[in-house]
Amino acid sequence: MLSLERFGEQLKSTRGVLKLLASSKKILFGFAVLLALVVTGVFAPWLSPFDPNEQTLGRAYLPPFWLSGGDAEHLLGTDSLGRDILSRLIHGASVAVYVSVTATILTAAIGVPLGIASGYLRGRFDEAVMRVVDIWMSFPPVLLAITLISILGTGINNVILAIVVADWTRFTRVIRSEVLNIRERDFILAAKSIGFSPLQIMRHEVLPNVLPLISIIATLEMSVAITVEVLLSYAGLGVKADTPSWGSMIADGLSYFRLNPWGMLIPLAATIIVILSLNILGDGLRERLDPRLTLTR
Amino acid sequence: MVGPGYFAKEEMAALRARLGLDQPIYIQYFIWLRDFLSGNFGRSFRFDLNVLDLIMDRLPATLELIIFSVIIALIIGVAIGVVSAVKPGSWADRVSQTTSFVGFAIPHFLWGIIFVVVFSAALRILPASGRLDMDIEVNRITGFMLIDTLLQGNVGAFANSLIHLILPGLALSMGLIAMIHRTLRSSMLDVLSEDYIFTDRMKGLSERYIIYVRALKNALMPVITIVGIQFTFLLGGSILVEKIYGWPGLGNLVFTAVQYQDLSLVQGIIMIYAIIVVLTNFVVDLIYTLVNPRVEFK
Repeated sequence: MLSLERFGEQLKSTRGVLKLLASSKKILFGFAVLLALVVTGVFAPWLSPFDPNEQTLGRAYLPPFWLSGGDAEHLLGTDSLGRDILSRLIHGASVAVYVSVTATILTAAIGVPLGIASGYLRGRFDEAVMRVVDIWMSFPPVLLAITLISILGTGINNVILAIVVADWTRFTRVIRSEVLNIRERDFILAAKSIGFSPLQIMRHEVLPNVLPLISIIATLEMSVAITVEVLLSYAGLGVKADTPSWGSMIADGLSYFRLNPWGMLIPLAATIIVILSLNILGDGLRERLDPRLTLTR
Repeated sequence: MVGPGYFAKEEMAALRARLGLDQPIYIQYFIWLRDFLSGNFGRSFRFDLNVLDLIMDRLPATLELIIFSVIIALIIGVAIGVVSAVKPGSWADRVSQTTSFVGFAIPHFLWGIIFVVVFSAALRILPASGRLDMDIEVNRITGFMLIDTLLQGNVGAFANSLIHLILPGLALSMGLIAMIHRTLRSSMLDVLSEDYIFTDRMKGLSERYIIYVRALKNALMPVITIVGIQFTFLLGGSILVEKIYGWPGLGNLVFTAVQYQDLSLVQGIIMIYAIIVVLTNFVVDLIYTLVNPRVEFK
């Protein structure tokens, strides 16, 4: 177990990060999958062998190459419209990366300042923020997201907005409770006594100390964001129909499951691997930081 | 829904007046509040039926699914929680811990799909849609299929509806099983190191009695809280699980309502969900006082 400060120091240098990766199998594994996902997502247009929406109806329901009837040209086979599953999977990764990274940055941008401010300032502001958080959390986030999409309409940016609105409380809540501890420490007292304003203290003293915690919550937030995107797209409320997404691939795949089960199993496996890896990464980081910390839900 | 140019001006004005849209927004709100409190949730555009009737028609199916999954979660969660706590560090503990990590990390709806693929499509041992086989008829009394079939003495239909509950119920309970396991494991470890357990051992009570009666009773307290808190997530999870399993409950109704932009129906369902959340929190508090005499109402 590392202290918060040392953990923070470690994240600052490349060597420190490498050391952290080597220190735990969970962190190494989770990080490797995350890196693979991000690289795939970012370089999707160059990596994918076909246009993900190109239809060849004569070549529909091809199984993956390792099965009889498979074709080396379509490594993972084709779906009901003869579209290349590998290409759709790769482009789906780009949707997952875009949604999870953007949603995580936005939820952090709302949650971190609110959490720091209510934990540090306490008083009425804290009371007010925490009441809102409590009310927000007593409502099923999935229902909130679906309701928002019903008002805003489908589309990738509306999905991100729905995630942010439904899940900003996670950062706020966890950061606040950590700041409650930090504000009682001696270096805060020192900063106060040399005349730092509350704003300066929050920026220069409190924020650097919650950065490691932010990195942990971010991994969980990314997995939540991917989950919500997949489930909304599965239900037909996510990205537009011409954008390949793992969720819509799963939904499509279920409809032609008897003809080619791989059309559904492959995106399902990809989703599960990514979600599990992000959770394993978060769990590994948490173990290094503070085993008693509870972050989930 | 009704665009300009579709109606003559006078018709438009008459329609706005009929729907109360010519009133200022705060008056509209109070009209809505009055109607809502008197049980009038409006009419559904899509079904042309009273919203409350529609909701009440579907509510039992959802509640049956959720209550069933809480029961499954309690049985499995408590069992593996106790196994974990009695021998921490053993292989049984590690298997339970890994299971609960995976159970928790993967969301309800993915479990739903996984179970459909494994038990229904591949193994073909459990049904993956609806509450009953097509050819079975059951008259509606309470709307709870398990109760209705028993009241009518139809054992075959009871078994059939139970089989239909297994997959969606299990999918919904996976996360809760994990939460119960974790919570019970740590609270049980705490309780087992307390003085009164030591005294019980000194008195020569059997280990089984100590664990399952003396320790478990106190260790279950935090579990009740967890079930209460997680109820919100079960409600949320049930929406997608219902969609996957074609379960004729509120979750499926939400999707229909959203699809057709049936606003009064969406609004009504959301209010019902909110009421369920509040009522559950209240019931959890009540159970708390029953289980632990040290907790009192102030």
